[in-house]
Amino acid sequence: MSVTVDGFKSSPILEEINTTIDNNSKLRKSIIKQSNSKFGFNIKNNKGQSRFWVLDLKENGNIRLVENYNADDSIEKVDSTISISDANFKKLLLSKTSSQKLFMTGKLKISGNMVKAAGVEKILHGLYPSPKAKL
Amino acid sequence: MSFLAGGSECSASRNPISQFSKQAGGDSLNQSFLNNSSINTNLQQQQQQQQQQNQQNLIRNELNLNSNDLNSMNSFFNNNDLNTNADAFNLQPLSNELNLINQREFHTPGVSLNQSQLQPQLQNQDWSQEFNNFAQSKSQPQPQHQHQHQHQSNQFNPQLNQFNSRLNSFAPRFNSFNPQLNSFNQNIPFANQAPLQTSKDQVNWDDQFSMMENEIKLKENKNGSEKEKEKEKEHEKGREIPNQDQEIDTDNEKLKENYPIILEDKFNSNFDEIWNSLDNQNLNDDFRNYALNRSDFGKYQFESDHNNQFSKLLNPYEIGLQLMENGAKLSEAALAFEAAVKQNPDHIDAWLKLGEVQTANEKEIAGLTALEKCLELDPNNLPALLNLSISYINEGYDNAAFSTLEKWILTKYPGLVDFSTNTNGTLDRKSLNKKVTDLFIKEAQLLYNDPSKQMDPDVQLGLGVLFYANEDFDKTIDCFKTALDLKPDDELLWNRLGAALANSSRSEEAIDAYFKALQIKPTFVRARYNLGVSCINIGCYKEAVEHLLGGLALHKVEKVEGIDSDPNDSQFNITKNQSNSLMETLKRAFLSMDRRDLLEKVKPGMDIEQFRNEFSF
Repeated sequence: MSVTVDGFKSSPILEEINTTIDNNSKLRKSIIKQSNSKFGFNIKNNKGQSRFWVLDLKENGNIRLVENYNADDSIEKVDSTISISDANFKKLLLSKTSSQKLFMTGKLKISGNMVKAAGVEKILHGLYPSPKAKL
Repeated sequence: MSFLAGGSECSASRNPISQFSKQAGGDSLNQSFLNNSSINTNLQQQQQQQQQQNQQNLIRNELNLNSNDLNSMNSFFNNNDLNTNADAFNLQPLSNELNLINQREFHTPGVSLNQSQLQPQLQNQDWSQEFNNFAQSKSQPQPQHQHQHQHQSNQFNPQLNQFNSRLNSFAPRFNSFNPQLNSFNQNIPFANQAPLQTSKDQVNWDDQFSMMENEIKLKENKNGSEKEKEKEKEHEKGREIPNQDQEIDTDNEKLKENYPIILEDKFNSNFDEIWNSLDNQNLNDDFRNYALNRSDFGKYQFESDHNNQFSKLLNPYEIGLQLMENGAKLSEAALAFEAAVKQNPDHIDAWLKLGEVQTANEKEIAGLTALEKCLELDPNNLPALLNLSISYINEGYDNAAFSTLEKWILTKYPGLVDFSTNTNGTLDRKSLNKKVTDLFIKEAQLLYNDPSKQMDPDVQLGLGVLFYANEDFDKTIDCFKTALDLKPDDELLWNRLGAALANSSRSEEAIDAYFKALQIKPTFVRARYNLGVSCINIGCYKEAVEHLLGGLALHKVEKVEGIDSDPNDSQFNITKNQSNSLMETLKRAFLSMDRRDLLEKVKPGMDIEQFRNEFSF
């Protein structure tokens, strides 16, 4: 199922991550074992629209788009929710900024388990690594 | 464990001997007296000196030593200095014993701190502890240095007496300690090895081996007849290898001595199964330990004969070399070398060239497998070892890379074996890196200091790679630049310099280096890929896309007339050995540009001509 949403520039990257996990069962296994957590991303784009994605690294090991999410939803119970603008989320995914910087400037907000949320950047970069120059 | 009960008594904290030497050593004047007494053997003279010293001490510290104590102290120092190995007062076993006791008490088996490490620590601790106690008793929370003298002088007399009385009680104990010490020493090597091999590693090994075994079994089932042929070949190789062995034997005798085989039998048998065509004796231990400890890349994937225009030609190896020289596409040269090794699977140079071409062509895994095959045929092939280690670094198999580099330098400069420290058991990544780096630095120094020899750019390259793995990029850049001074026309080196610059966030300088590499060899796909990465990092996405597409265009191979019948398509894609990195990076560039329309077009086997209207490459 596609998780790309028009008007959300970060969503194609989430789609890419999904494909990466789908094609690599070993990666899926190890990342579930390592993180064992479920993150919610509450993304707001420049038109004022909001969407909610769930990065499930507990059961299925994928990213899902959740329509009309509410926090009491017992099915999509997340460990922590990260609220961020679409543009900044794209920057974060492409390693153009750091979650710490965004958090310190109030551009990234966390609710729920802070400890798990602190590791989310590392997980995202593990799933979508930036290309490295080769010798 | 009778001595354990007395352990607290013997431990340095309450040991009057150590207390004593500390107190004497703490004062600079007393120290000089100590030195003097060791030089002069005459007791009388010493006493005089000592008295002089003591007079000074008296003035400074208001210390009052009686002559009796003085004598005993004197005789102690004398004994100690004159007969350091005397039975009665050999402090070495005692302090060794203390260490052992300490180790026991703290339950740290296997960590053999040597005496020189532990002793000062203990002394310092005790000293400060004692000092604090003293300070507290005098209710002086911040005692200055001068207070130490007072402190010493106050304690000196009782300590000395105590010391004398303890001396006698210690002497008989020494004998009872010694057997204990021996038994401990015997145990130490085992203790050293055991805890380092964690059970986790063992499980990993086991898993990997079982996986490999399963693969082999599968293959056996699938093509039994081919397997038989292979076995025949292996037998032939088995006959050939001993001959090789004798030639290299003289070189390797030293190596074998320094590298006794310490792997467990279980591991050995598994290695033999997988690498049975390899002459294990020629591989040193680290190489065996680490180079094989990585995921299996499998065999080299050949392009089908149908697509390979060179497969039916005579001597494709020569053609490949010519193609390389004339600046043809690397993919075409790779096809020529593929044809060469298909015609003659034991063609070592063809495998080597194939590996080099494929890595330069940004097809790391293909290059890696070819180089491994080359080493399988010729375990001491120097260029293959060096290139393979760099491929391992690129793929993140650092330990494999370090041990391959170690094998490289020990093969090229056998004299270094003398400097190579023999380490038992497995090393962690850091200490292995340090060990190999030390070897390279040693060799670089030897070459530098010997005017009759030239500097070796490959040593500098290897050293740079070792620093690169530690993210010590400034040193890496220095090494690569030194190598470039010796080999200014090496496009591979320019690209490596660029990669080191790019990874230390100096993308602009990196781009200059990549351009130099491409000036020398325009078909160098890896430099184009790196150029694309650097352009993405500085935010020039359009340029990045153009460089990446340029790289992908070089992966297409011109069709030769008469091979295929589709007249509309003059080129075809290599179906095996695709380069994922180029395409993934291209996708990233499109994502950064918010071009979902272009992103969807990027997939294996795409026609890159469709991008021509927007990008020039």
